[in-house]
Amino acid sequence: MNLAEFQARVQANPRPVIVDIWAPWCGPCRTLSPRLAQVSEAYADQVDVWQINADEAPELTRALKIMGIPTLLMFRDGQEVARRTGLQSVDALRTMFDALLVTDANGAAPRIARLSDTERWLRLTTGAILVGLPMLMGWSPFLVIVGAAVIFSGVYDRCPLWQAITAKLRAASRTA
Amino acid sequence: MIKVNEAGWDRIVRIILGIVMLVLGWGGFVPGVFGAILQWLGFVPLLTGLIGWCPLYSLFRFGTKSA
Repeated sequence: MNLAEFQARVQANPRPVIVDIWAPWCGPCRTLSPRLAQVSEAYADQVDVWQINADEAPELTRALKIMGIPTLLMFRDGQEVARRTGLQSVDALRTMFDALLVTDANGAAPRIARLSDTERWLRLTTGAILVGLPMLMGWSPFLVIVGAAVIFSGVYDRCPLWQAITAKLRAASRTA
Repeated sequence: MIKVNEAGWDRIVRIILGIVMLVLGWGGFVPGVFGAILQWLGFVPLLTGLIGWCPLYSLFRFGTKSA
């Protein structure tokens, strides 16, 4: 399957889709699969789950800009609304399924925060300057810390640890 | 959720201005009280540029980003 075929399939699907990019040799992928199956059972008629073996579809994996596996791509109304890389907890998976079913006041799917390439580039470049200059010139380490925070703000949406922590917090706030 | 009210050029100008102010302040190029002010004031354009939202624009219902 190439990218055009994949996109056509996603757009034709009437329900939101979570696509699991995995590989047989990947340990975290093997741990994620049963968790995904467990959570998806509760959403059987609402959200579809597809699996793509990265080894069998290297071109598609490249075209989707998959940087690591396991990666979960979330699609709603034919559009990618979020992606998560790394092993996910059952709570985090439930949050993803719930997020795909939430509708805003206009009946549209709310976009799950994901940085655009320009936004990411802007933050990473600024952060690199703020980290690099003080280190080269021997200025205050305070600027290095600020720069590191700016760099993190440029990749937080792809950080598995950050996603796990925020998912836990969201789950805790829901039960509170 | 913060609604971005700065255009791309506005954000880049703010980020560059912020970095220049921080370099002048933290690098010791500007001595005295003015240098100390630059050290902290530089974070304002830098932060507003990075997040794309200016509270003053919001206050006056102004923005450089086209709707």
